Amino acid sequence: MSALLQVADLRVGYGHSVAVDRVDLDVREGELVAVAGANGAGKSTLVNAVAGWSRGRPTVTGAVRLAGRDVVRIPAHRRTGLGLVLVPEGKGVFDGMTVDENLRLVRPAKDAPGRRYGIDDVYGVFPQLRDRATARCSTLSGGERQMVAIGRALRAAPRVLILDEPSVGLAPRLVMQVLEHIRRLVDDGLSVLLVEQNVRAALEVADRLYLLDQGRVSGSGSAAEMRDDERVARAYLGGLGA
Amino acid sequence: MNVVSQLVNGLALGAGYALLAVGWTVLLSAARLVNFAHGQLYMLGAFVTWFATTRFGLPYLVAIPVALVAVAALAVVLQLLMTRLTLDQNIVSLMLVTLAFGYLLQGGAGLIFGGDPQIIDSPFQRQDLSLGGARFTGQDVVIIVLALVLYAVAFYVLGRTNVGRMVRGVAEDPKLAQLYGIDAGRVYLVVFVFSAVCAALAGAVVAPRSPILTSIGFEEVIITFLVVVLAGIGNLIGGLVVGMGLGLFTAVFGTYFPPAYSTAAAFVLLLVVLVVRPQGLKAR
Repeated sequence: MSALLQVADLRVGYGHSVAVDRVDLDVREGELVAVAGANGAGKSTLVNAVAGWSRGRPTVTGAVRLAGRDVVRIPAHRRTGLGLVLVPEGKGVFDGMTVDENLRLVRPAKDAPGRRYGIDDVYGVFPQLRDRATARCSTLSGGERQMVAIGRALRAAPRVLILDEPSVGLAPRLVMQVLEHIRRLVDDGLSVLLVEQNVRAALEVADRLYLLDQGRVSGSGSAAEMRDDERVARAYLGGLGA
Repeated sequence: MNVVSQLVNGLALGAGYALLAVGWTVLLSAARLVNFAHGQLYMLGAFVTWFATTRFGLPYLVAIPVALVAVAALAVVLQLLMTRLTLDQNIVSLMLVTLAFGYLLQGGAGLIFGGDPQIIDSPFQRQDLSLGGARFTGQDVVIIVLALVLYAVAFYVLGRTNVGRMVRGVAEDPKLAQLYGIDAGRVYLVVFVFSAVCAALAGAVVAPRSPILTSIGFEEVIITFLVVVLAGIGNLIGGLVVGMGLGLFTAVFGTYFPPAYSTAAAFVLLLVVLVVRPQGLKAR
C-alpha cells in the first residue's frame, strides 16, 4: 500500500542547532503510526514541521508529501485545508470560545479531499462534549479539552491527523480512553500520526512505531515487532519481557 | 444653549468618538495594533468626501461611499506593507510605522487638498430640528443613529458569525488559528480595512459639523485611544458607552469651563478610572 504521508530527509534546525536530522517516515491509508522517544528527542519538532507549524522560526529542509504532493513550502493554514491537520501539544483550543464555537470555527473547503465530520459526527465520537457544548473551553477538564481539540481537527476533514502527546496531563484512566477513541477513528479509515510519551499505551493502539533519539530515527517496525524489541523493552517498557 | 440641547450636542460628539473607536477596538483586540494613523484616516474620510462633493459635484450621500472605498484601498496598501510586522506582533515597530504613515498621509493630504479650512456641505447639517426645547441638526441625529447601528452590526458579527469567530480566534492566538485553517494575515487585513473604513465614515459624518483642515486627526486619535483604554481592550459595548459618556462629559464641561481644558479634564478622568479599575470598564 502506498504512503499517504511521506516524510523524506527532513531536517529542522533553530540557528546552528539541529533538532530533527534526516528523518524518513511514512503513514499509509488507515494506519496509526506512533512516534516515541525521550524528552527532547525532537518528536514535537518533527510533527510540527510536518504540519508546517511552529511558534518559533525553524529552518526546514527535505520533503513532506501528502498523497504524492510536496507540501513543505505550504503554510500551516493551507496544509490544514489540504487535510494535514495537527493537534499540538498543550493548548489546542481557543479558551475564550465555547465548545460549539471551537467546532463551528473550522469549515473545510467544498473540495476538501478528506472525510468530513459534521458537528453531530464529532458529538457522536465524543458524546460527553454534547452536554458541554455551550461551556467555555477554559472551564473544561484536561480530557474534555483534548476531545475538543481532536474534534475541531476532525471538523477540518483530515486525511492525516497528527496528534502531539494527546495524553499529556491526563489521568491514566483517561489516557487509554483518548487513545481508544483515536484507534476507533483509524478503524473507520482515518490515518493518524501520533506522538506519545507513554510507549506502552502507544503500542496498545498503534500499527507501527518509530523511535526517535536526538532528532534521528533509531528504530522502527510494527507494533508487535517493537513490543518484542529488546531496546524498546529496556528503555520504555520497564525491562525485558514487559 | 439649554441643558437638553447640550445633552444632544454631547451625545452627537460622543457618538463621533464611538464611531472612531469601534474600528480601533476591534483592531487592537484582534491584532494588538495601535494605529497612530487612525486620525489621519478620519481626516481623509472627511476630505475625500469634501473633494467628491465640491470637485465632482457628487451629492453628499454618494460622496461618502466614494470616500470609504478610497480609504479602504489605501488601508489595503498600508496593511500589506505591515503584514510581516503584524504577524510577528512587533508592536513597537508597528506603532512607529503607523505614526510615520500618519505624518505621510497628513503631508500628502496637504499637498492634494491644500491648507485652507473647508466645509463639507451636508443637507443634514442644514436641517434644524427641535425637540422639547432642544435645538439640534439632522447631522447630529445621523451621527448618533449611525454609531448605534454600526455598534449593533459589529457586536452581531463578532459574536454570532464565523467571521467574528475567526477574528476572536486570531485575537486569542494567531498561531493556533492557523491550525483551524485560518489565514491570520488575511484576518488582520480585513480587520485593518474595517477599522480604516469606520474612521473614514466617522470623518465623513462628523466633519460637516465644523470646518476641516488636513491637520485634524491627532486630537481625535488621542481621544479615541482614551475611549478604547477606558472601555477596556476589546470591549465593544464599553466603547459605545465610554464614547457617549466622554462626549457628554466634554459638552457639560464646556458649559462651565473653557473648552480648551476639556481634553486635559478627560485625561484626568482616565487617570482616575485606571487607578481604580486598571482593566477599564471591562469585566475581569
